[in-house]
Formats: sequence, C-alpha cells, structure tokens
Amino acid sequence: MISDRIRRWLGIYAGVICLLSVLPVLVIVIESFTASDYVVFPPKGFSTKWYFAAAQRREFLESAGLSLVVAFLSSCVATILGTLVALALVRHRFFGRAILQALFMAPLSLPGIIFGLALLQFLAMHAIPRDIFAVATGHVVITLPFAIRFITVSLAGIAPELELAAQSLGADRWAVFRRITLPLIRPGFAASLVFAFILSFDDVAVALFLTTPTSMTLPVRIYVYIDQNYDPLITAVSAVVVIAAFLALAVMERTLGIGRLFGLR
Amino acid sequence: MATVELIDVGKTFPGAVAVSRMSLRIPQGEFLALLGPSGCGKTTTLNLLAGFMPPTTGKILFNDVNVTGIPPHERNIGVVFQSYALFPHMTVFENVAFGLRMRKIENAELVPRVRRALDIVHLGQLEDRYSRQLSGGQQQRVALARALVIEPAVLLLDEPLSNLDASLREKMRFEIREIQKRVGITTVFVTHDQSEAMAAADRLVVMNKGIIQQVGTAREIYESPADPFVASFIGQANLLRGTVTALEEGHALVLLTNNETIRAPWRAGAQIGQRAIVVLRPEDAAIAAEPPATGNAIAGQVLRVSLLGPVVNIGVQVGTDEISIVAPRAQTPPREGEKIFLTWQPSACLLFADPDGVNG
Repeated sequence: MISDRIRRWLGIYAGVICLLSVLPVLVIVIESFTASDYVVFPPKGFSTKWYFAAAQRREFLESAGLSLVVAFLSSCVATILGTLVALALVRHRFFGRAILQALFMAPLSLPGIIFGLALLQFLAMHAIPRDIFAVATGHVVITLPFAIRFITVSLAGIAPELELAAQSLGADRWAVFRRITLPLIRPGFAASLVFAFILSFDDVAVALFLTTPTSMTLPVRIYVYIDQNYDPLITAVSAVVVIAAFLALAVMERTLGIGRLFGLR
Repeated sequence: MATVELIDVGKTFPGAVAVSRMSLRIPQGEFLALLGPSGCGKTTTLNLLAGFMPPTTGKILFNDVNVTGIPPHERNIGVVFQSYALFPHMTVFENVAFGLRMRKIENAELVPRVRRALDIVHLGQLEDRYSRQLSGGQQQRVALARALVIEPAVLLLDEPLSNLDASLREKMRFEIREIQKRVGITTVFVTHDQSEAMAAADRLVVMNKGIIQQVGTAREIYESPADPFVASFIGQANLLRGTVTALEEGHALVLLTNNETIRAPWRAGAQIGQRAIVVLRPEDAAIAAEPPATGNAIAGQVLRVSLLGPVVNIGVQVGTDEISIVAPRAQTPPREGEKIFLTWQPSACLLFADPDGVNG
C-alpha cells in the first residue's frame, strides 16, 4: 500500500504537472483582456475590446464551424475504419497480417507536413478539389493509427470464450458483434472518437496544404493570421477555443463521465 | 435432447494431430465424461461437438442428422466454459435470457423461463446482479442456467469445476449431476480430474494423445483397465516391470526387475520371454512380517507412512522401485525403515504387455 506521506507527495507532484501544462494556456487567456494594441504579459489595463474585434471577423467563426465539421467527419470515419481493421488484425490470422499491421501504423512515423505535401500533389494530379472532404480524408489517415490502437487494445481484452458462448446460445456473427463485441469495446470506441476528434481539430501541418481561403480550418486560420499581424485579437480567439474546450470536457464529464468513457472506472 | 454420434472424427492442426479417428455413440440422456491428461484432445473434441471448429475428417450426428457443417448458433447446444464466459455487460437475468432472445422468444414466455432456470440453480434472488458481483460458485451456476434455459440438444461442459475451491467443487459436482438427471439432457463433460469424472458420469471415455483408450463405466474401467496408461490414470496404480518366464494353469509367472517372481492372471497373447507390466492397485496389497503360504509376496523396506484421513498410505522400497499401498487406519502401521513383505492374491493384479519393452 502507498503510505499517506507518499500519497501527499504524489498529489503535489500531479498538481505541479497539471499547473505546468495549463499555465501557458492561462497566460494566453489573461493576455486577451489587455487594453493595449499589442500582445503583452502581464496585460496593460482591462478591456474586452479584442473579443468584440474578433466577433467582427466572421472568418474565424466560419473556420471554427469548418474545423468542427472536419473533426466530426474524420473522427467518425477513422473510428469505424479503425474498428474494421482492428477486428481483422485481432480476430484473424492470415498471410501478410504482420505487414498490414506495420503499414497501418506507418502514418505515425511520417511527419504531417510531408504527408500533407504528398496529399496535395496527389489531389492536384487527379484534379480533385481541395475542400473540407480533402482535409477530412487527410485527417482520417493521420488519426487512423490511433483508432486502430485503441480498438485493438479493447478487442484484445475480450475473452474469446465470450463470443463463442454467444454463438453457442444462437447468436449469428452479426448478433455476436452487435450484442457482445461492440458493447465490450465501447471504451476503446469512445477513446478513439474523442482522440481522433481532438487530433483533427488541432492539426495544422496537414490542413495547411489542403485548405483554400474559402475552406480554412481554425488552426490554419490562426496560423495565417499570426503570420501577418500579431495583435491581441488572436489571443481572444484562442481564449474562446480554450474555454469552449473546457466547457465541452465539463459537459462530457457530467453526462458520460470521462473516466468511464475511457474504461478507467 | 439428442443422441450424439461421432463417426471417424479427426482434427489436425498445423504440425499436430489433436484427435484421430474417433468414433463414439452417446445415447440420449447420458452423462459422458471425456477424461485425459492435458493435450489429449478432449477439449478439441468438445469444440468439434460445439461446432467452434470443423473436423478435418469424419462427421458428427445429432439424432442421426449430420451437423458437421452446421455453425454453432444453429446447433442448439449449451456450453459451460471453464472461465464461465458470463457477459460482463449484462445482468444475471440478461445473461440467462440471451439465448432465448436470440430465439426471438416473447417476454411473456421468456421471463418465466429465465426465472425457472435460475430457480433450478438456486439463484432466483440474484437476477439483477452483474457477474463481477458474484462468487465463483454463483457464476458457475449462472453459466449452467444460461446453457440449460435454451433446452439444448446437448450440454457441453468444459472443465466447469476446475476454478472452484475443493469443497465447492465436490458440492457442484453432485449438483450438476442431479440437475442433469432431472432435465434428462445428453451431457458431455470434459475434465482432467478422474475423481470428478468417476463421481458424476454414467460412462467415461479415457483419451490419450488424441486417441480413445477406453470407454466404459467407472467400475469397468477401474477394475479392468485396457492398458497400463488407463490403469494409472484412473485411480492409483503401481506398475511392476518384468519378464514372463513361465505360463501355467490360468497364471503367468513374471520375473520382476528385483529378481523376485510373482504370479499374475493369464491374459490372451501372453507368451514366455515377453516384457510385461503388472498393475497392482494400492488397496489390493497388504503388509506382512512373514511371507504367506500362498499368493504373491515380495520383500521390501518401509520408506514412509502417512495418514490420509480414513486410510494410511505406505511407501515401500522394492528393489529400485517405490510401491505405494493403502491400509485401513485401524491397522497398526509398520514403522519407517522396517523390513516387511508386500503380499497380495494373484487375482488382484493385472498383466499387460509392456508397450515400451523389447521382447527378449
């Protein structure tokens, strides 16, 4: 057992790590309330004018909407594809299984920027328009390895006898999957959806090559904006994203329970 | 309820033969135990009966209908796994109801059937629990109820008692037997535990290396084992090695490796010069200070004496071998180190050709 003293130190350690990871973000949020025309910390004066300024820029709102749609599409597609791939890799032994396994994990080791460039060339060669579907496709590729990992771990945790027992009780393959396998991989399924969503929403490297001024995801929009003018407007936009993310987490915790979602409890 | 028949069934895995040329008929309502050491093919046989894997050769009939190519979900079988395999995301009730739901049975009929099955295994009050909230014995009973509620043609039990502690195992062994008799269902019970098989089953099938060694009731197999392997697997047996030196009226004389000669009942095919194994059950020999006038006697020295409750187990050094015998507790046991004679009637032992021996 862990003694109380060690438990206390562990608590302090965990607290410090949490603080360190949140502090930089907190700095951005505090900066966004500056009254100055340039980014500074600590902020000079207090003002919400940059929030009003940001609200005037419709392109940020449009980009946020676009990012949400792309993240939703790509996380759903990656999770469904990942489930199918994981089922094949875990449940079946076939020729080339090890090679496929390595191939599916390959995007992990590929820098996103190179993959983005490659996808751009591919789209150009085949005259495929750069739109949200192109971005979503790119995001499916980079998030698929994570989806496969999460589902594989969940699947490997299911005793094969459970599926055999269901079969013996009269369940055909589809019924076994729907009534036994799917409910039991739910934690991995949920983790895959959430993680893929976050990865997609965060991505700059791949999206940079695939977006056009009319279809630009939020991280790219922020990046492009900073490149041209570094004023506190961007900190206000960032703060809104941070607060939205915290709200989303809070809602998920209250309704689903994040720990339970990931199978931690 | 069904008669189950295996005809020339074989199963080969890459690089290994799990079951070879197995033929067996299990009449309706019989409780049959498949018994053997691990890797003998008993679990493979069960998987073939369940349809979890196809046989390489041969066919399987339920009530004279060939089910060899029929998938498990269409076979109408009940399986109880060693790990119980209860669905962790369902309550006890839903676990038991699963097979009925798969058969599209309406709630009006389903609910009373599930309740009845739970009553049979004495778990009526636990239907809202999840499996993780149950003890091993309770999980075992849920698994049994789940398999029985669908009224399967055949009930398959894969080492269902091996994860229970000793006292519960004994209790469940008789409980399963009692339920099986009451329901009258054809049952195949796989186990490596011979006492479990002997206590529960109508007939035993002793398997080794994918081959049926012997089929019979516990008494038949115990009293006339087909070979030394069966003799030592079912019950305890001392194997005395030697050579047949003479044949006389109904007996063979066997010269043991310690240069003593004993008599064993003659067996068809025994011939002079043949290497032989004499099987002697521990309870069939006695200890004496002097060799008796008739019967077998070999000299030995007492190695150890241990009380096993109702009986005393005595280890005796004979030549280079150790022979163990059991004596009633009431008898005064010999002291360790004492020189004694082991005695038994020739009719109490069995003569076999030594499968590993070279005839001289």
